[in-house]
Amino acid sequence: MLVDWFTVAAQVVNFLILVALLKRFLYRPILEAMDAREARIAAQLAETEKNRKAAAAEQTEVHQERQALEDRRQELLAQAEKEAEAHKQDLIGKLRQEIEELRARWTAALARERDLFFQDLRRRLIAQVTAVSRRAFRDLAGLDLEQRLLEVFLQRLKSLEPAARTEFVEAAKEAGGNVFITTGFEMPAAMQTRIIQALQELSGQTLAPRFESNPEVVSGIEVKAGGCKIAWSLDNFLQGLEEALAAAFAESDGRKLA
Amino acid sequence: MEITLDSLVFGRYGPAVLNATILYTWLVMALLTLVSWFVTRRLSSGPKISRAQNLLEVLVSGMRNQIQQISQEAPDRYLPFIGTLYLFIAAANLLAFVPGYHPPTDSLSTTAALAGCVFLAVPLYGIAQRGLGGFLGHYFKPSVFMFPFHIISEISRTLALAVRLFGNVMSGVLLGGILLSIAPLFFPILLQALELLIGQIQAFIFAVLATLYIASASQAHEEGRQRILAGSEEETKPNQQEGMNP
Repeated sequence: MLVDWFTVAAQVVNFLILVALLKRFLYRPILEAMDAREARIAAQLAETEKNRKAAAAEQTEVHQERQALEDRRQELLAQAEKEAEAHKQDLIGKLRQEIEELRARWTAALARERDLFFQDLRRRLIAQVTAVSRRAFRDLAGLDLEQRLLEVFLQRLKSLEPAARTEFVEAAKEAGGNVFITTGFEMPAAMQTRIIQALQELSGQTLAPRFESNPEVVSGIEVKAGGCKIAWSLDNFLQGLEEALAAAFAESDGRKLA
Repeated sequence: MEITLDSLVFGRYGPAVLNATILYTWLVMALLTLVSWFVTRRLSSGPKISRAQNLLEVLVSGMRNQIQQISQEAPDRYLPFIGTLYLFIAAANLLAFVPGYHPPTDSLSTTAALAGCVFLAVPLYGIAQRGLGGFLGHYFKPSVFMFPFHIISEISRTLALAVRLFGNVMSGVLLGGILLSIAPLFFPILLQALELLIGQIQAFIFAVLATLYIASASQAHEEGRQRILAGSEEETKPNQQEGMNP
């Protein structure tokens, strides 16, 4: 007999016992461990997903912040450039103004120096011309320059225009006959007498002349009565020379500048 | 030559007999239980697990996947029964390489007991799933006249289950013995290696068929609904089952 029924029954029981044992010691613990691991992995994945989303959100936020910062930076940069340009233009303007002022000052100083130079030139010219004239007069005609000047002045007094003469007379009267006679040299007494006579003839009144010497009145003579003045000197000649020289200098400067 | 292990009796107490079949069955049971207990007493649910735990997890999850694929249902309800069938038969056949050991599946009593368990499990699972009326109604479909054929089918497939396993294992042992007497060198080793492979395949076949029988009895009432809900899935399922049925 191939089948022993007791063995069959025993094997059924054995098998059921084995099912119970394996369920207790194998399937349940293994499945529980696997489920626990799955739950853990799912939790970790959920956590990771959550973190990923948070990180993505943060990244977006950071990106936006960075973009805003970049925009702000560009804005500030543009503003700074604008301000720098304005400041530059301002500085250039100020510099130009300063240069203009400096040039004006320099030009003024130059003009002043030129004036001084011409004044000095005139003085030296007068001195030279006077000396040369005096010598020429003495050597060529045996005449004294100052004397000759007085002669010329006396001639002028005599040939004075009626209007000027009337003005002088009025002025002398108002001044009470006080007349100031100024010469660029010491006038000899004889000469003074002649001048007084000539003036008295001219004004028709007695005058109280007062003589003085002033180097400013170059080789000439001035007569002041109140507000009126009659004068003649070499200065009148030299004035024209000075103007010609100034014109020549101006022309020369213009050529240089051109 | 001993054809069955049942006749190798070690002790007798009244009607109870302690024969080789029962003894080797206990041996296999003890081995399976001890190994399971030893591995599962310190389980880890973390990412680092022991190799033995990994092996058992692969085994259990593999069985779950197979049951799920075959039954198209949640596998945990069937796992203890089907899994134990497979593990017991596989372990009993695998230990055949140990000298002096005889697989208990070499006894028709054992295979009949296992087939009987399947025979009983089919209505139990079916009733648990569908209720007594629903399960019994299955035997009268498509008509009342089909009832005897259903009964014959149940008995014949149970017999086939028992005899298939017994025949395969017994023939292997028997062939080994015959070859050993004819050509003592080399050939018996090859045959034994082949026998180990056949033993594993038989364990798989037994478990797959048990799953099919149980699942088909439990699922029968759902087929109509599933056909309506997912016709395409239902079309492939019978084909799969036919393909797997040896």
